[in-house]
Amino acid sequence: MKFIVTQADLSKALVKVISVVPTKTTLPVLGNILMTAKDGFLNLTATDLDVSIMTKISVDVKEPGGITVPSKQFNELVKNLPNIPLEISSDAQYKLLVKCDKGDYRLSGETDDDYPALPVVDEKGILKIDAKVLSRMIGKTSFSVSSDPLRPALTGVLFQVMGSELRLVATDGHRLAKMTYTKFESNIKDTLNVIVPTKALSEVAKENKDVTSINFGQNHIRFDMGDTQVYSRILEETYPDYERVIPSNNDKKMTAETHMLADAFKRVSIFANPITHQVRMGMSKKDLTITAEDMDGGNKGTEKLKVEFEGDDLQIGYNAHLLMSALNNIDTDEVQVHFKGPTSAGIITPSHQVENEHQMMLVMPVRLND
Amino acid sequence: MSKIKILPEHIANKIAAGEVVERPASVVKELIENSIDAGADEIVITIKGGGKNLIQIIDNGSGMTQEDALLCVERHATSKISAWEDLEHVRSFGFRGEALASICSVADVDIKTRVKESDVAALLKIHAGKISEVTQEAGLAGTSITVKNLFYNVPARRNFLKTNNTEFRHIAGVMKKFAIAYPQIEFTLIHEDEKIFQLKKSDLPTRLEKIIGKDVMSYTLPVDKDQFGAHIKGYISKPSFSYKTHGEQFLFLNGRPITNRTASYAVFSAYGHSIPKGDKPFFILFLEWNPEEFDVNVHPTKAEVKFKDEQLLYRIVFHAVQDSMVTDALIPTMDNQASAETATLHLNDQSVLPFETQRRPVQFGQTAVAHEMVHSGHEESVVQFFSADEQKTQVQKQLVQRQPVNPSTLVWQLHNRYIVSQIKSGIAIIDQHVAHERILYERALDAFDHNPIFSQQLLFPQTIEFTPEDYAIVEHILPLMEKLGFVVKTFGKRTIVVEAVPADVRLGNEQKILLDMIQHYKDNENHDLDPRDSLAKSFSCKTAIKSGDPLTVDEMNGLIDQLFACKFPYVCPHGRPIIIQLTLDELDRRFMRIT
Ligand SMILES: Nc1ncnc2c1ncn2[C@@H]1O[C@H](COP(=O)(O)OP(=O)(O)O)[C@@H](O)[C@H]1O
Ligand SMILES: [Mg+2]
Repeated sequence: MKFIVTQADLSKALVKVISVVPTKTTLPVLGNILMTAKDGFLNLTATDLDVSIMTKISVDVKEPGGITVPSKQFNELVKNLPNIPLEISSDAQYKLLVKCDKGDYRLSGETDDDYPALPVVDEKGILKIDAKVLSRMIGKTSFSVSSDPLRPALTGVLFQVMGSELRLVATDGHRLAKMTYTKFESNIKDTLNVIVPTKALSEVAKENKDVTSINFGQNHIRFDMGDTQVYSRILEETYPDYERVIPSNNDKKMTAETHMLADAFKRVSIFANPITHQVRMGMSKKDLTITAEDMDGGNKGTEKLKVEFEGDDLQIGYNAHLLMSALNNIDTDEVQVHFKGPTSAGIITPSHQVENEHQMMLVMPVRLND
Repeated sequence: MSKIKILPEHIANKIAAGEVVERPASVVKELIENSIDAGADEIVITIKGGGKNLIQIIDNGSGMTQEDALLCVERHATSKISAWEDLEHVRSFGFRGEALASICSVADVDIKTRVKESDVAALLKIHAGKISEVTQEAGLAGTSITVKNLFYNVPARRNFLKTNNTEFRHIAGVMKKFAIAYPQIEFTLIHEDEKIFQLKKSDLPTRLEKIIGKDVMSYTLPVDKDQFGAHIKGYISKPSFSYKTHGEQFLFLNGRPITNRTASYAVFSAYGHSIPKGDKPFFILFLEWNPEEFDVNVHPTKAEVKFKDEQLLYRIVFHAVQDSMVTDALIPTMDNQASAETATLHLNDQSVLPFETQRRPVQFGQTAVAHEMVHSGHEESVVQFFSADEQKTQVQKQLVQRQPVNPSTLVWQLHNRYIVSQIKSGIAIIDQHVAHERILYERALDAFDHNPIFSQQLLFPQTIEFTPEDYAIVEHILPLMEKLGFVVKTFGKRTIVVEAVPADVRLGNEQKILLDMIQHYKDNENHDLDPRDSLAKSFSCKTAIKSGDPLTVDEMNGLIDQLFACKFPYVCPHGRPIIIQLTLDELDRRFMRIT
């Protein structure tokens, strides 16, 4: 194998794949990156067996071939080289040679035969969507997933195709985030539910250009984003019936300035119990009082904010961290929170929705003991 | 002719004797009790041949008139109660009027007694339960009772007795209890014509120093509490000194030595399970309580007492002991001897102990130590004498001084299992699971009494089905579960729906945790006596972060902060250490910077 590539191109491609390389693995070859040069392209592949990523760049191939090399050392080297053409080749002993200007580097690699093959995705359906939109939908849902290995279904984001809607849903059982979008192309006739691990999605969310096509398979999903493909195993779990728990009759509505509200929570919650982050919200016609008190420490923080509130006065308790992470995902200047009572879910939405999109978040309260 | 016969009195007495007088030590016990009841403040006990040949007790108590003396050997002759109602209030040891009659039926007994008012003492000689001779002679005020040839007429009993040394050891055990309970009485013990000790009248701490030893006492905490209508005082071992074998435990009820499992368990529980299961803490507790609350008349030897309300007894002891421990906390260290093995307090380690010789054919009176005790008058020698009469008290030595750990400095997580933190004196290593367990355990107990835990509503309520047996338990502890933050609705006779969970805890799989908690609770053999403690343990055990859970720096610092806000930050509810300290000194030694 031998090819010429510019440092900048190679470095950019390496950055794309490197984050998939597992830090700890029982299979040493997974610590390597697979490089294959053929037909004027270099393919770079990394995998942890659950998530795989492949990206290609055009290079000047002198001799086609493949090799796997330790990802960390190779990436460090390339990153620190000047932006000049590099000549990269491998020998029969699977040594990788990098030649440039003054440098001459030799790195021990391994045969590409031992590297796991990428999964074959038997396409059940394809959906094409603006890459930027998909990235946004992922960003505004995946923060709500659970990290609890005992509830594997909740550790991923649900992709749900329902007629003209694509929905992404994430929940950890205490809060839920849902994004719906209606402008996409797809050949999917029935409804489709797939749970995708967040590790794959964080790679997908990095893409902001053009169109991403999502290929739904039996066990895997593939995201095609121009020169890069992300493959992921699908979580074979049953997602809980989330629609049933989203209340539709929340009759109290608070409208507030998003930043003002988020900042107030941030300040007041400094005085909350460090574990529960519990804050109390007291709402009446014109204002909202946020209080936090750490009973052990005797500290207390209170803020009174001007808000609009429609409905009967309400006192409700929340974990401030859950609220703040929801507010941080609101892009509009104003936010609306819909309540029912002190033990039912509060629904958070932007004051107005983006075209073709619907965003909503739900946070379960903490019971106030009084 | 009827088959049923009234037994002649001497036979009846002999049978009764079997209950009261089991071995020489029981004679000593009965006689000391009588002397104390008679108001003596000097008691001299002389023993020969392990008490088989001679037991003599001389007291300076009230004495008896000749008339009373003649009566006292009769069965059911007592001066201590006259009506049944009196039984409710007895504070004296005796009241059954059985002991002297029983002893007289199985030994040759001489009673010499004089009341102050009389010029002469009466001397009674009793053989085979019958007074054989009554004379008068000069004598001191008080009573002297001499018991010879014990069990001469009950060969089965006599053969059943152990070696002289063993019997003497039992006598010493009896004396130890009285000596602790009555520091205001002078006790002298003479064995085979040698004075073993003479314990002068003193206050309790001085007496305990003599008997238990300064060393052991310095590892104790005082207890003193008036609550639930009872007064309890005494000493308990500090939690960091757990006894590998049974620690000695002394419980006195209105001055009467008793044994009681509930009380022992209450002490053990009060340590917040800061000592390993199976270990026995050392304690000396004096409980003063209204005699109406218990019945000592359940057994002729009165060693066992029946309490009207065992749960109340549990609470009295538990709270008194727990309160006294709140003030103290000890942090274990890895200092060199303690790290590897169990160190024995020196009261046991160098000296030849008198009663260890029992396995060798050496008479007690001939051992060097006994001589030394008598002749040097060495204070520690009494301790040595007494320390041998029970099981060895091995003490697991841990760090003695409390050292505040400063959590603000660097922390990092080791193998997702331990939190390592730099502290002033070196490094501290914290076991994350047991640390969290301790925090939650104390949080749970606080939740029951004061501040219920807040409940985080669940988006997806969890339905759990139980077996009818488990469901009964769930129903029983439901009010406590609610204080812990579980909001649960019940359906039918089997099913619950969990709507909210404790906000303090990262729960996740509520169903599994609840089922595990119930199982854990059921497995705790003590959940009837102390459901709160059991539930708090189950809760903390099942909801604490696990070994293997990764933690952020904030979480680690939060954990350390909360740990040090705990009453007992150093030992988990099951007795495992939470923190280990590696001092710079220790490191320096290991790297041979200093030797
Ligand atoms: N050392 C003593 N000094 C004075 N009186 C004694 C002494 N020992 C026994 N007595 C008298 O003898 C009685 C019988 O003693 P005992 O058989 O032990 O029965 P109890 O102690 O149950 O009354 C006592 O009630 C007491 O009056
Ligand atoms: Mg008596």
